[in-house]
Amino acid sequence: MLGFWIQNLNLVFVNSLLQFLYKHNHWLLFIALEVVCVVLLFSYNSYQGSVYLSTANAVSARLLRGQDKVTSYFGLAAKNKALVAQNAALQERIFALEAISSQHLLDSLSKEEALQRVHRTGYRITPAQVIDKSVNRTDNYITLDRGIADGVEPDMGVMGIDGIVGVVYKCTEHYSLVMPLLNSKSTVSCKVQGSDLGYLQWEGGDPRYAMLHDLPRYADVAVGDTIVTSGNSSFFPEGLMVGVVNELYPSSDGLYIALKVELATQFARLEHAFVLGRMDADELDALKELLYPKKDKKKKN
Amino acid sequence: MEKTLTRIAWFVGLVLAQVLLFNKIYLFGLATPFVYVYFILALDKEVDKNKLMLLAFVLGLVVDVFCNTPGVNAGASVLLAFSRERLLRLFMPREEFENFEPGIGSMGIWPFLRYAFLAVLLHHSALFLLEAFSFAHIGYLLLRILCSALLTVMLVMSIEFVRHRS
Repeated sequence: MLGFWIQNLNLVFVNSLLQFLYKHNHWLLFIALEVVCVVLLFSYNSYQGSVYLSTANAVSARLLRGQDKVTSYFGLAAKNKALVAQNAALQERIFALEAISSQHLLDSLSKEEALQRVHRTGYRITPAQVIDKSVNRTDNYITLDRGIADGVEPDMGVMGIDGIVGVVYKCTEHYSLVMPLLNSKSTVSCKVQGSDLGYLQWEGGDPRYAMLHDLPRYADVAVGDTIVTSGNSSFFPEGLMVGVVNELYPSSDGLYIALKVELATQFARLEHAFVLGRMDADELDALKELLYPKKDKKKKN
Repeated sequence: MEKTLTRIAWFVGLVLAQVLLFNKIYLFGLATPFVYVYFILALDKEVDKNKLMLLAFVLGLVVDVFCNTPGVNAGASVLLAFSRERLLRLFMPREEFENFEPGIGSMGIWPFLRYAFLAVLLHHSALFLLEAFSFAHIGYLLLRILCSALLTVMLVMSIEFVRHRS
């Protein structure tokens, strides 16, 4: 008798629960969908996460590349001019460096040996086309039309014609996603040319400026000074153009100063990029593995 | 069948317009229109609430893939789809008929404008807050929400006018 009552009660309870769920089923669906969204939002931030939910997946990248093929015809003249100017500047540097090397190196080293030495510590440059970019979000990304198949890997540095762009974040077979300076998670070690170290971060808003933090108070710096990469990380060699000091701010504790840097790269107009692959990256990784076994995968570029 | 095809055409068309054109707009460093919400705003009531939410989720997610912001557009769109009925009820003419299709034809220009503005404001608030995920630059954020919403509403009204005329 008692069992029957309990069973009955149970049935009534289950029934009303089902009825409640049925009546409010759109609430359930709403909550379920929003939970999925939040999970997606957070899992994307984890390093090496869902590359397929990005502009680097095959379908979206192909569509964006098609668009880029059409739109990139506009302004070809200006682009050619910029490339010619860069070529000229590079040629000048080659002449200057050859002059120096002929003075110093060849005394004790044959040219082949010298080149081999350069090869070991140099960077392999992969040219790439920017097929998609944004500058209007807190976390911006750039999509390039080069991927694993072209030798591009996560953690490689990326530069443009005018200055550095960012670091490769995720790769698919033929495309890659770059975390540019204009991303709240990007940190790049920089220095005032010929002087002190700091790190560059973007704080949202205007895509033309970023902040250089942690520069010691005594640093010898003035408005108009050039900011370059420090060479402290494996992403970029030393001395690549980052930007020009626009304003100085003392920090609240008075120990450091922060610089507002006008970025050399015009992200809104970026069309070409060069991926820098370090020749000795494997060796360097092996060494890092020895020093910091596995765990510390989080990078600080 | 024809209706379903029309819906699919609108879905695809709006997604393409959004990712190829409107995503690149960044007016005065403030306003980016999210015109794809027109799909959620103007879908007829034959599609029930749950289906509308699922459609909004897929729509948002596709746009998200092109923005590298998985979950942001999808979350905001699902919220809009969920609240659409309540928003509509504020501005809808009294007699509610079967397959009501929100628009200036069925509601009149001003009620539809007010409905669209409120809906877009809700969507954009959710969108920008989810994206920033902080109240750090709240003034700038509010300005962005308002400017973007105004731009979106302007474009939504233009689409609606063109559609109504033809």
